[in-house]
Amino acid sequence: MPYRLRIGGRDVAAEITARRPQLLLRIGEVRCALESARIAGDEFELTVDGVRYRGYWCAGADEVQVRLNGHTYRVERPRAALAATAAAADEELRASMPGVVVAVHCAVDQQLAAGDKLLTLESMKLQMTLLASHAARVRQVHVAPQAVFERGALLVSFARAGEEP
Amino acid sequence: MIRLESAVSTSSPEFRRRYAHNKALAKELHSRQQAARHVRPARDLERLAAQGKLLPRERLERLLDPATPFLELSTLAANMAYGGESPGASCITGIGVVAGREVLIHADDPSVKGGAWYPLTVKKIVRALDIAIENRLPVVHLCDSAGGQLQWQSALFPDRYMAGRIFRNQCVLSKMGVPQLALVFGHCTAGGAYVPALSEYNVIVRGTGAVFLAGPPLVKAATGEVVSADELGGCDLHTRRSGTCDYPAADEADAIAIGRSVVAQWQRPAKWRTPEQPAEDPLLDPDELYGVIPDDIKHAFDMHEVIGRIVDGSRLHEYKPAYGTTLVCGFAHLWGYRIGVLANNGILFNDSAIKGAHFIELCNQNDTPLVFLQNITGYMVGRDYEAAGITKDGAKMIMAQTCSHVPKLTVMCHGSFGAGNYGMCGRAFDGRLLFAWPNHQIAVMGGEQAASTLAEVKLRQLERSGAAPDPEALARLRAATLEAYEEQTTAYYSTSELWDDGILDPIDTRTALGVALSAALNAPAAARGNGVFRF
Amino acid sequence: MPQRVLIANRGEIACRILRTLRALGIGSVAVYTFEDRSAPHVALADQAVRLEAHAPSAAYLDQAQLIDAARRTGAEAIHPGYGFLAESAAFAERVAAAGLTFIGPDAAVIRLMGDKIRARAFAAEQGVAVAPSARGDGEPAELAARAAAIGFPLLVKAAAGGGGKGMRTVQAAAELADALHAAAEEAQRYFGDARVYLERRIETPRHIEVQVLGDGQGNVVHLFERECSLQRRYQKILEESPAPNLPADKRAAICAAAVRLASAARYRNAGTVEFMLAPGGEFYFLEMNTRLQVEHPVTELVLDVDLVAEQLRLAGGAGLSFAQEDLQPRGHAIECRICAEEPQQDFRPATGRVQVLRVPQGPQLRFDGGIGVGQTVTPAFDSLLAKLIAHGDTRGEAAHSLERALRDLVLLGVPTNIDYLARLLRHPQFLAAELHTGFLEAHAAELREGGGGADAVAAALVALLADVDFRRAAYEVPEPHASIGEWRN
Repeated sequence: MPYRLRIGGRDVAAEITARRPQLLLRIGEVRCALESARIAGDEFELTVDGVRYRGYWCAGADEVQVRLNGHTYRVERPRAALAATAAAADEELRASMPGVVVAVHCAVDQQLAAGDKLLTLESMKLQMTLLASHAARVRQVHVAPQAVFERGALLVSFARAGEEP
Repeated sequence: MIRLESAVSTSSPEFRRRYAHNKALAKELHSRQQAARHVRPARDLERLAAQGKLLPRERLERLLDPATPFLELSTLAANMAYGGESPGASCITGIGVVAGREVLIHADDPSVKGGAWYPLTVKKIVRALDIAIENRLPVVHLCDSAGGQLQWQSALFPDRYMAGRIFRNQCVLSKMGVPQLALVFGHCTAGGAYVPALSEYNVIVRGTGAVFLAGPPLVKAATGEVVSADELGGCDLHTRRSGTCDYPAADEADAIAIGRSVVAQWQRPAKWRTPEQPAEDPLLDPDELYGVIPDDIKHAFDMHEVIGRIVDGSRLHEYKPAYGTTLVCGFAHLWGYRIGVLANNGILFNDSAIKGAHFIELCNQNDTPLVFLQNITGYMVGRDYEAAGITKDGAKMIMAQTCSHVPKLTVMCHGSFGAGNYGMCGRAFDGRLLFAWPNHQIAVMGGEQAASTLAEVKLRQLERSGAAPDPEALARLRAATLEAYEEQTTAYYSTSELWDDGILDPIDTRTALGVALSAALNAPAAARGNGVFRF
Repeated sequence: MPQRVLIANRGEIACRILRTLRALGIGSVAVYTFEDRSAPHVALADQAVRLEAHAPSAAYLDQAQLIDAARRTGAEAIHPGYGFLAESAAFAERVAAAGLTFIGPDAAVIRLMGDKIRARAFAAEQGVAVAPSARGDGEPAELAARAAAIGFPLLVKAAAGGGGKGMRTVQAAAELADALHAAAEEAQRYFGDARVYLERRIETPRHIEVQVLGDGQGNVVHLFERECSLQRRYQKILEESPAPNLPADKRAAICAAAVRLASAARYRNAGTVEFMLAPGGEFYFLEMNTRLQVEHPVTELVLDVDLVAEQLRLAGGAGLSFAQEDLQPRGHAIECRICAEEPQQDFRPATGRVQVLRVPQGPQLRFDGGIGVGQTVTPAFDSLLAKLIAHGDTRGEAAHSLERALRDLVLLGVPTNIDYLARLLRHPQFLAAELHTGFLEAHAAELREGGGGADAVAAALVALLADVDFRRAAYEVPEPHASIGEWRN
């Protein structure tokens, strides 16, 4: 199973092809032997095909930045879909416990992106702000500030993607 | 340890003839495996593609660690059953490496009749889980099956070792502390729903994965409720409401990545034995095996030639080399592991049988796994040998072999006829894995012998009743017997019925045994002890 | 000299000023917002005062809070740095009214030079050439006539503006009305003053500026010129001193004009007079910046002076430390501005957290930075992270040293223009000093990042090794499977 990287704007597939007697890899079209690798803190030292490389690196959310021989490389690794945890096309947002509405942050017909604020609710002396789990359009907001609701109450309805208003 | 030397002449006509014959058999094996693995009706492949599904072997390759071996078991299961409708018995099983851990993999094959289970599918899965239990291998299930083949239900449902045994085995594995992961790519219906439910961890693909005790058609028939597969038992229902499934996955690649991450969490318990020394390729050329194996089941060959082309450095420490010479016994190394080898160089006599029993005892004392290389037409028969106690001596070998606490592996290198099969750890004797070569034949006795015996019995019958023997009828009886034998004694028939765990190209034997042995050593040794030897 | 100074600024300039304060044994007070609590300037100062505001940059513009902070900590003077309140006449007055010293010129001069229309008129009065220009208000017919008199293309500029804001280029008369409207609206938004004026647009001009110091009595010395032609959207990227290929008489004339202007204004403290040098050799007054500039280090390295120290002395009431003859420039200095941006995304400002920082050292090398490891770069403040300056006996040596230092510099965690600057310093036309304000646009294609880089494979390996799944797959596969490798039966 190849690892997919993006470097210098190009998609590159990387694969381990053998481990003994040396770790052999294929990076894009290039085959190479990784003879030794030491990564400590923010510095690295590799020996690839007999050539030693020394430099610095750091990791961000989706990419690794490498400083090597006076050049900064940004190597992106596509991340596994986090959206899997969100149900696709949730059409209704229902209350998971009773409480009161503190603030409404969305409006009818508003096109939301994943992570946009919907409502701030208060339950059990705890306030929480509910966010849109995925892109959707608000079809209707069923509550107003200071409204008291029960568990299971319908709070917001969304239009399915592609649905006419 | 001495290095075995080759006594075959690679330029002799006999070698050349045998080489051509066995090479052709190997080629036939590969092409039949290729067909069983990949040839599918275009309609089925298109359906899977339209559903956005990967083929089961694509899923498998993504799951496995790169540049690692995968020992596939029983590729040709059901190849002579159901009119060829179920290549591979509609599933893939094998031993591979995932996230650095040895695991047993069971994958439904939805490209064969939607992955529906035939009786031999059930047998293959039960066998795979038995292997997992005996070898303490964690299991990864790749689930995608339409359920049981209803027309075959009486052969796959009711009995002790049928479908229920799969779920029983899952529970036993769990009780042993061996984890299972199920990746739900498609439907898990009825009993099949228990595969993910009884796995410690499971992942379900949104949109195509579904787990339900009854699918939409059955639900409608039972209660009139109309519901889609996804609504009934899809990803969101089971990961958010019912809790039946643990990890939602956006697509198949995501599911596999999550699965690898789960396997990476599992402990790697210490193995019972580790390699004693670095692995070393045999000095003798394994390719020459094709020329060593005879092209006739009745012909013999020297097992030293086989051993020397399988073990590390072609080195063997032969035990009692001058006694009981029809059974070669000795210590060797395979991929660095010490093993005890028993290999037939002829029929078993009194001396070879008791030498075998004694050597098996030595291996048990020494905690050395056993490898049996079978080419046995039987024990010596006749009054003199009975008087000398051949039956007792054969029994002692069977007792020693059965009561071994060390793991046992068997390769059927040529013939396996009659009681010789027993002493040399045939299928019934709980070897961890058993493989066959394409030239292998197995029966209670040879075909000719059986035909002659049956004809002889018939003749005696007719004589006793005073009827006249009918030569034509007798000839027809002989022919019918021979024909049945020809069909039912081949390696392909054996592997079709899952009497073995797969046919190996002889040249792959060394590596297959290495992977098998490494897997076997995940289980601690059984309790020591023997039954009573009849002396 | 004041004995305790509050720096009403942040980032690299706050650190730079703090360095001089420490060297001179003067007490220092830093101010900071919550976002900047781990910034280096906070730790460098003797005291630090936390500012409150609804938005981070607003804090550094809160005059009342700043003066209050000075009072509370006993600071006698406030150094405004550059940007923020550095050119706020109101702030200068308020500081003075509070009995504190504002380290800079008088409010009146700040006000004069801050109004570009008044400043230009003042310059013209001193016999300093200004580019043909005209007021930007009045009847359309008058406007059109004025514009025609200047000639197209022309620029619409904000009277209270700077930094390219409130500025529009007009190619033809038809575009004039829209450009005036857009520029005025932007000027109102940025400067609170919608007044605009028209100015002739010079093609491929060079931006030459002169550093001056005045004692407020009319005595002014110049500290020679700087060339700041390499700009993108009116933001300077790279500056140097002296200006290359500038004939001695031209240099003398420009510097003399700057002195004349500053002297007539009875300028006190440090300031910079900016000019445009046309290809034909004429130069025109652009504006005067009544503060310390970002690029002041190149002057300091070439003349071996500390401008901040001079600012402090002059603020304390002392006279000029040196006479004009004392100032002999030596060698050449080049500075580049290291910014948090992505050159390949049209220099879009970038954010991130600084994770690795390794600064090259050298006797001719100077790094004026305001960031430390672990600090977050946010869109709240501008993207300038640090300046790297190199001095050499010749321009070529300085360029070579600076390019080398850029390659040795390690700054990871937030995207920067470091590699872009290195490419610029290697560019043949740069090395040949064929400079003008359109240089970066003209050579944009050549300055773009080339292919993947020779070491892309090694970089990819580092990224792979940083991934735990890859490391496991590479190193944790047991025997015999690792030795068997890829095998299928």
